[in-house]
Amino acid sequence: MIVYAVYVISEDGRTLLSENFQSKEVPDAVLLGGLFTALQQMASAMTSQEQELESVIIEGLSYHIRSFGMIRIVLVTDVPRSPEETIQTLGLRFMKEYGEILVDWDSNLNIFNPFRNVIREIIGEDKSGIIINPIKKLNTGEIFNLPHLLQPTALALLSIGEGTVQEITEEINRNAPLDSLEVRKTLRKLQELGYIGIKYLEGNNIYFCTI
Amino acid sequence: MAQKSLKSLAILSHKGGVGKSSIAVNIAVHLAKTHSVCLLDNDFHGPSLVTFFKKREDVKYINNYLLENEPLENCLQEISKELNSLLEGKIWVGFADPTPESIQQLIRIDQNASIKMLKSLMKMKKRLKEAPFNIDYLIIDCSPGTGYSTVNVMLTANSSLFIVKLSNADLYGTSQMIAGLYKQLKSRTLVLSNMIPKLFIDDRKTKEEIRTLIEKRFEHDIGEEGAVKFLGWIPSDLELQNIEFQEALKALKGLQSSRIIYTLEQPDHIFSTTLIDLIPILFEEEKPE
Repeated sequence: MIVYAVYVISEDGRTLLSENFQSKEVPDAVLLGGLFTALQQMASAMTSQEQELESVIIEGLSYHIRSFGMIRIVLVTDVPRSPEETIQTLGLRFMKEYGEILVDWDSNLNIFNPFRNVIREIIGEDKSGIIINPIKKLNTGEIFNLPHLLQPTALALLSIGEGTVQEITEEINRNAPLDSLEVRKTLRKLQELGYIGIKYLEGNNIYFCTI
Repeated sequence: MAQKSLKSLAILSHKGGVGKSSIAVNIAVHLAKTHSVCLLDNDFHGPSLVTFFKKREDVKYINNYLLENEPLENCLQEISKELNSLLEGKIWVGFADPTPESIQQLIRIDQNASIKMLKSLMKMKKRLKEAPFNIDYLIIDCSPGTGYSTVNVMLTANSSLFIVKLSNADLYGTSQMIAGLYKQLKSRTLVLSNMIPKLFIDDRKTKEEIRTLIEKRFEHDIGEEGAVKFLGWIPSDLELQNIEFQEALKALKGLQSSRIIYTLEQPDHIFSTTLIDLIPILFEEEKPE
């Protein structure tokens, strides 16, 4: 299963927090909050037992929705099967941290920011199988236009196809010395720019690119 | 076992006809007197290594390796023995396909093909360190100007040597070209002025004056002091021009012709001695004074 994003939405449809795990474009957080709240209300109105909408598939991505009192958690994945344990953990942890604050919340979204680390921690507990794909292809022109400090890392990755930080560092060091700390920084920057992806395999972060 | 080191040099120019291929061949052959060398024709728009060496029919072009997954072994020709039995090292040559079809194909090269070529070049650098090649030096003769294939070579080579003729257009264009490439790549960049009248070489005062002017021009365009190293001058005399002309006439008449490799056939010629003196600088092998 690939986890693409997590959204925390208030009862009235405002997105309190969203966290993306993927370069692939997922819907705008503000729009998504309103959309799912409206869908939820529509689903409740249309069913006699006031049953809530649990999952919806849009353009190949599955949106799993669960209510936890004053909030809803939306987890976006690549599979229709609901990741029940993860979504429950996310909702309960959020309510434990912010339940009381939400009672008379002053609309300050910044107070939820520390929960980003909790989301990453929960999603990261079982990272195996998570793949963050690059959104841009590497080619001569793109590499040429990269800041020159990123070029050796991009070239090394292009040469070996995929690898751990250690393997990429070894490849770079065939031509010029660069320590693994610097390589990590350049990998992070290349990932932010959308040129490289990451997958978690047997406890290792494997970086890769597409051409 | 320690990984064998391979030093690579890209030879480039802003315009054609500045003697780039001739310099590449002469450097490669001189190095092959004692080392294993690979000389690659990456000038797909105007391949010219075929005018220096006779390509065997069973050898594939380097285009086939770079773009069509042909094994490297089938695309490099070992020519040391055909050149001179006294060469202690070996020289492998990769010829670019000079047919009109191939040139047209490479003119249309797109981003997808360029990245395939870049990947193949990087794979080649690794493979050349191994048997049967065991290469010490890789010299790549590039197309004039700035195309994808040139950028690919600059991305993979240790150093880039720009050959310039002392004409206004070429000097200005080369300086601008280097500025554009250096800004992005920050690679080790060297400049060598070719085809300088021998009379000028003998005038030390004028030579230093012009060297200063050239260095200032590069510094101004590139905006960084010492980013580019100006190596000096390669002389040309009437005798050299005459020989080239006579060989061209022979070829036109359908007679057997081959261009002279000075560092092999006339190592005491001023062209050879000047170039040989510069080789350690090209590969950062200068001995401390």
